[in-house]
Amino acid sequence: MTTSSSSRSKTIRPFTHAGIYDGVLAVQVAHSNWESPYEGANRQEKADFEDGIISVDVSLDSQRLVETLEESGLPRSALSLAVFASGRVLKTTEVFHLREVTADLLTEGLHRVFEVSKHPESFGDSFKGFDLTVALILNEARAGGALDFKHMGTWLDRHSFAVVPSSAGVGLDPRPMDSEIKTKLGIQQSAFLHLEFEGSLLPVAEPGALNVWVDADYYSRLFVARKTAEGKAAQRLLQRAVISSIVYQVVSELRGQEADELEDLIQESEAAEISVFRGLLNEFNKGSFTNVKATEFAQILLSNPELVITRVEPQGLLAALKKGLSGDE
Amino acid sequence: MNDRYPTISPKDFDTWLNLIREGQATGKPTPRVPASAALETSVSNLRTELLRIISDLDSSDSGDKFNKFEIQASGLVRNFVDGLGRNERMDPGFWSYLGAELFEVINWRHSITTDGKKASHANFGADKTKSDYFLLIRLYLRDRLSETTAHKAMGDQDLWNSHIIRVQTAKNVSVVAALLEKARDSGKSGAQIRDEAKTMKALRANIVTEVMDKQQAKDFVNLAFDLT
Repeated sequence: MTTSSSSRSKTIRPFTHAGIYDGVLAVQVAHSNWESPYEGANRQEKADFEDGIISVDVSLDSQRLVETLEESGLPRSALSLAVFASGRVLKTTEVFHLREVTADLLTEGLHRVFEVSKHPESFGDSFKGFDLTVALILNEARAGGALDFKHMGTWLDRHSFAVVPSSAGVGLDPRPMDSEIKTKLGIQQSAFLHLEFEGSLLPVAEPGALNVWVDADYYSRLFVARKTAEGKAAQRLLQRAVISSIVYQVVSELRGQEADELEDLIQESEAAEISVFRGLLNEFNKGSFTNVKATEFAQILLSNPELVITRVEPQGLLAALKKGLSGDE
Repeated sequence: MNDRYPTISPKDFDTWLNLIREGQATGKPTPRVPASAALETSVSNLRTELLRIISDLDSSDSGDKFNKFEIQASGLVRNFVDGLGRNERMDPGFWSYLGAELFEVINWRHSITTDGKKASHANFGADKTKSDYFLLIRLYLRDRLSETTAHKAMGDQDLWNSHIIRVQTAKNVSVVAALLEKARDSGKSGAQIRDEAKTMKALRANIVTEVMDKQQAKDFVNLAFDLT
């Protein structure tokens, strides 16, 4: 589950016919990092920025469009569909589609797929992310009164997706454990979830030093049910269980420190190249738009671990789950 | 994450800048991967060139030297960065490494070592979410967003920072050009077009400017100025 903050602010639009075009466009954007595509307007989501595939699906409600064109007194030729993306640091805009709304577009819609690696400045901005916009716009200036649509570029319906980089987290890749693996791990056969690591999670977990194991039977049931609502709910519950285990492990390690060594451990844990602690901290801050520092976060962990568990929803874990469940290993 | 070019984490950079403020820093922050000899040489050449521009400006005692610096330096920074790989260009850690290497240059423009000066660490490249404040990014953008060399020389820093780089205007190079030309033709500085810039912002709530061509961009800027 992504931590999404959808900014559904309604712009006050000074037009007689403001809003009548709402819903003419239906837009779905999917990123290969995300659990599922997103629909609707004005969302903010996260993704990893090194690679991936983005797909954009646009369909127009022809019936609705015909009616609204008549109501607002515009010919269809006055409208164009624009699809573009801008990376936030280099501010480069790539216009992927800019064409008059044709009969073909109305019947077939628009479907585009982009490889992130081929558009690094638009989709690969790991500073601050990018904005992807699909808009129905007036393609030419028109005569009109004060409250009419008249300036070129005026949008009639618009969907924006702001995508920001997810934190550099630890790779938490749940793997299925069958009875043989359970024996090797030295745990009981009825075990559902097991964190395997050597010694401690703080200050640093090297790649491969932390393994998240899930009962194989449960794992395969999740796979079978992965597209159902129940399956998705079960995935979320698993994610919760994994995060809980990790948080409680981190808490017990913090508790085990002598007071004068605690501060050092916190600093080291935060600064480590690959850090469970920092992963949790970054996700915690994103989840609530706070900017808690490492020491304060450690205190929160110690006094209220449940709060952390509630707020931490790391993208990486679900992407890894999805990858595992879809059989791409 | 990469293992081919140097990067510096924001935390390391921040710590080092604090040491500099206290007069306690020695050397530069250590990058995760050492720079290749070739990279070190080209960074060193860039540093030398930039410092030479600075020294010329300082000794000629010209007014508006910061703006002149930006005009002269922006192409150098852009050519340097674009000459590297796309991975470097899109990696905040690499830009931070550059920021550390070119500390003297940035410090001339945004001093943290002169008493009483309050430059922000973002000016040096220690905060990737505030990239619009980072001098090297601003230099890069000034070159990149200028349609022609003539455009690059138009506008003062205030115009570039407040009305182009830190706002959505920058997302269409034609709009940037139209704004620079309009300000020049109206004889107005960055500070003098604050109201026009506000109008542009208000118009952008309803008008998509990213897909405008040259003429449409001109019409848009004219509209904003007329309405103000």
